[in-house]
Amino acid sequence: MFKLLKITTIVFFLVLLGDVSGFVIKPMAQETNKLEEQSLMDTNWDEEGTDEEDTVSAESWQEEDTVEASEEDNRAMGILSKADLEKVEAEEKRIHIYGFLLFAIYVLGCILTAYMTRNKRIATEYPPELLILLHTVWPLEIIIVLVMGIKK
Amino acid sequence: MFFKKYEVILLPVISVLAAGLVGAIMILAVGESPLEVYWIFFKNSLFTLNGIGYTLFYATPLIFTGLAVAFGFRCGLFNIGAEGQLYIAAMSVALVGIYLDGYSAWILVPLCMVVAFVTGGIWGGIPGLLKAKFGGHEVINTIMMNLIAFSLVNYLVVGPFHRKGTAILETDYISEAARIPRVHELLPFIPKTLPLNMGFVVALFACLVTYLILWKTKWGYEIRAVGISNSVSEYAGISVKKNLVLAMFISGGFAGMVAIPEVMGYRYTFHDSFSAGVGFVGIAVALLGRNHPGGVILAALLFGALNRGSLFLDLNFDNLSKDLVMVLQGVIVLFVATDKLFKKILSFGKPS
Amino acid sequence: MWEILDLELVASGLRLSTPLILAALGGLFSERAGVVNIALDGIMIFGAFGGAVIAYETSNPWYGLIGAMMLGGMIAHIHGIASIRYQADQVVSGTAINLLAIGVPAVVANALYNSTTVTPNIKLILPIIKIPIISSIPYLDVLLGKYSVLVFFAFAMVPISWFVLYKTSFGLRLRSVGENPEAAATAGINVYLMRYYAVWISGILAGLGGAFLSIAHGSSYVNNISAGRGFIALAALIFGRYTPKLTLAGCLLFGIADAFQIRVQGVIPIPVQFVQMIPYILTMVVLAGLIGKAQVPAADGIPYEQMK
Repeated sequence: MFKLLKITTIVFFLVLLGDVSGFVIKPMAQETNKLEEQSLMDTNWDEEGTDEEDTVSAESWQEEDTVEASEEDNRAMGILSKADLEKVEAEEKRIHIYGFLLFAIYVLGCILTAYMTRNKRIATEYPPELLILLHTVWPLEIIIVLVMGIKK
Repeated sequence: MFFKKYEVILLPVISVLAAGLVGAIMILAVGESPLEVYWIFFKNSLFTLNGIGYTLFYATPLIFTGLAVAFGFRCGLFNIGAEGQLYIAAMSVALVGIYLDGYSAWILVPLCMVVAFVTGGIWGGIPGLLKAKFGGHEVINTIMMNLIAFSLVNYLVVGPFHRKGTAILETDYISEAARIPRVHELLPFIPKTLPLNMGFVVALFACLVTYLILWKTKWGYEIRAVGISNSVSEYAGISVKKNLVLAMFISGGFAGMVAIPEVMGYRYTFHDSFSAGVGFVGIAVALLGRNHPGGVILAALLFGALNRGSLFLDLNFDNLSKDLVMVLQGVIVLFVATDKLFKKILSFGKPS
Repeated sequence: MWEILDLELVASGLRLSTPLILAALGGLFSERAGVVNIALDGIMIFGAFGGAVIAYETSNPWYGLIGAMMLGGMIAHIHGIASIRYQADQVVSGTAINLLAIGVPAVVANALYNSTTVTPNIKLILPIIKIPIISSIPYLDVLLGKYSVLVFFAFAMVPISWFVLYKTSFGLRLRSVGENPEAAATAGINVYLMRYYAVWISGILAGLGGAFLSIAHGSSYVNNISAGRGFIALAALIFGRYTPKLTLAGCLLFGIADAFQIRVQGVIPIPVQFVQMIPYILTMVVLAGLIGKAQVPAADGIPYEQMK
């Protein structure tokens, strides 16, 4: 039974670590406004790409300059180009997936810990107020229970 | 033992001190010195003439709402609707004061006072009726009545009764005849800027009346009996339903009387959102005052002083605002409610 | 005017009933264990505030969500300690929490952001899920296609709550403590502990309900963000006779009324303020028992004194 607790704790901390390292890279977008995303997504990117391909061979050097200039303009004005947008979306997706996992682990951890410790010393010998408090920070509670168990 | 006799007074005092301690911790947490803060509080509310005047001024509506909640509690009713009741009453008084312009003060002043009481009473009586007839919990109903009152009164002051030609959300001014005098008109040494008015005297009078009703009349006895036990009262032949409605009506009436110092004595108009949560603070006042008119006066004075002092927080400290007072009030209510905690502390050392 | 009665309205109604469902389910657990919890509104405010602040500071709405859960649970725990251990009047201690909910967020927001009424805008809020297949079906996509993740969570909590309350021994013990604490104690159940659990759960759920308002439906905390929703949730709970399924019905009713009130503003010639009153009047009508009388748990609201 203790093995299960140990595994849960380790998984929790691993996920936490992954989360933290992910946030060192902050999203580049200035606006995560849903409306803006909507309008940008409405643009038919496929068509745009085709246009560029056709004209590249004919007037390549002129096109390159214009494209680069317009991209720089775009970046300066805070409007996202296609590549930036994809990066931001991917970042957000990461945050959401990790976040949801974290949330699920927290909830399940709460329930599991409460269930596992129901007969342990910490539940029976200490006031219930303290128990609930510990459940809120159940990784800490697990550590405490393990420490108490070893000292038996 | 020594403590037992004075428990009634000691417990509220300890609650306040404990809340003060919690407040001190909060003040420390935002980086200020509790001693400085509390000193500013008390210096500006109790040690200057202006301070005392304003303390009494802020305490007046609190006496009314405290009485309202306390009266409700005496009948076992939790009246959280004081805020809505006072708004309805204030709007009604303002309208009467505006549109019954031609009458003399001898008619208008008493009339407006009655209007304040009755309209507040009706607003409180409705949840009382719902409780008596349908068993609807007065806590939720009074809160709903509050929210409805806010919307209604807001509509009236923004729309049909808005004073023309100004952007301020107020109604027209009430007739001169409907106004009650300020204290500085009667006593020479009072500063002219002090809005303290005769409403304060009315409040004290209301407390006296409450005391007489509750403890010196048969009817007050019935109300208190219903508050202690519904079933025993029924058995003794007391109509629980009638008393519930009546108690809520009176409770609402007291809350409505806030219109007297506010509209008739201070602003002379209905000003949108003029009450800074006076109805809710009244709950704390009633609980701290142990639902007794005398206690209500003392508690109202304390909160009035806190209100007065809180105005100086913004000026003197960067990180504090008057909302700190709201926090203190919540903590006080919490401690007053858990009086068993302090009873345990007080009886420490006695054989169990 | 009747054009507004469309699927979009129903979808809005479902969205707006989410905080009500979460808070009401929380209230369900608490009341079933015998502890009156009128602090639901205050806990929602704390959850909304805490969630918004944490989500802003960490740029991650999920941290905010977890924070709201923890904060909600802890605030409710205060109410629990006052009501259970110190046998305070449960309505009074609940009111104390509500009073604190008016003051504390303003003080903290002022200290952190120099504003007593709003917190800064959160850039990334909780995700809105678009179910792939359903999004392409013409009518279903309005009704089911686009909901915040918390909406799904809230609706999922209804059958889960039902299961926990009626099909687990935990739920059985919780209910018995609310019906007859003396008998439960004789059977060896720790009455205090069960009640503490119930109140704690109610705090977590109400905190989540509040968090919905600030980090899923909106993008910051604003003053009076709850607008009395905690009390409406309580009314829905009473309407639902303290059972999960009917409580859900009540919440949907109030949620759709809220959506209706928002949609109808300006469309019909009734002033905005009167339209805003609709949910409140509806609550009172419901409470008047014109729509069902409630079966209150027998020991609800009565403090239990444990013989030790």
